[in-house]
Amino acid sequence: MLTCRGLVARLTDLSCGDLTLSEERESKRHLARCESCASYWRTYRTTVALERQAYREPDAGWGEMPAELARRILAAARSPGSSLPRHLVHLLSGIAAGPLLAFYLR
Amino acid sequence: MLEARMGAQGHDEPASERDLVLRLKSGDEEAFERLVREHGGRLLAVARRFLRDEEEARDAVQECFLSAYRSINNFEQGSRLSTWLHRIVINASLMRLRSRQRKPEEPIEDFLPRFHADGHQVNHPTPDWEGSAESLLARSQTRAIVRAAIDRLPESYRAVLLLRDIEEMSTEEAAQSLGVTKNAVKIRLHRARQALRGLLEPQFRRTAEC
Repeated sequence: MLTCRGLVARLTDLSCGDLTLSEERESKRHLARCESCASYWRTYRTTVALERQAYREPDAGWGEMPAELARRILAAARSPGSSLPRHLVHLLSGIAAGPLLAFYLR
Repeated sequence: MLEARMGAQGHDEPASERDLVLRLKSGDEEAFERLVREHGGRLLAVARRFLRDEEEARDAVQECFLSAYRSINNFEQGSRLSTWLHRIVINASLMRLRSRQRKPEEPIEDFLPRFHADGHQVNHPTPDWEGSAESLLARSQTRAIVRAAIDRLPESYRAVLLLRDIEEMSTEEAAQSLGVTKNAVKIRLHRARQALRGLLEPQFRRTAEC
């Protein structure tokens, strides 16, 4: 028989529809006869609904791009080397530095 | 799932976006500026949720756009720019979270339900809350209370909660972003939701009437 511990362990799968039909039926039977678990299930669903809504309502300024950040990004994109991945820049610098180093060490 | 959240379906891609992508691929700076202005605010909000630090969030958004600028040629026609950028900023934010020095975190166990040896709940009966999610959300303080509770979760749990419940990624997408197994995502989500419930209970529990 499904215990309260077993039922609570299944709640996320129950809310996501990830239980098998027989597991779902068993869970619903438990919820129908155990008021404590039924209350836990109600408050669990309320928790998920609250957290999903907590960030839905835009804050003041939400959706606005700070002008300073936009300028910073555009400047960084225009700066030399920004169109190349950093490791490639380092590799190319290394290749370019090789002959110079060889010349001075000769 | 993420595509659905972003309102993005490949075949619905508007002509203006196709045009923008073509201009970006040809290195058009004005097109890049438009991309930054159109998507920057929303991406900053996503980064703020993950990082909870304004400067770090701005840095993550900058990394996101520079990464997009460099790899626009890998962008697949038929995808949506908003979805693509959303993924990049989440990955940039997660990278930053991973590189942060770990701070001592509150143990999550204190907020999980407890059971007797026979499997019954210790907290019996479980108290109901003062109202439905809708009625609780009508209160001005509720959103702040819920966000503060989410912020108290350990980072690995908070990240899963944000990816699955707020950013609406599938278990598989969240697992890929975090570099963990699908099962680990499921377990963390389950524990995170239970802990969040435990954190919110003292705020919303129905008090006994005299």
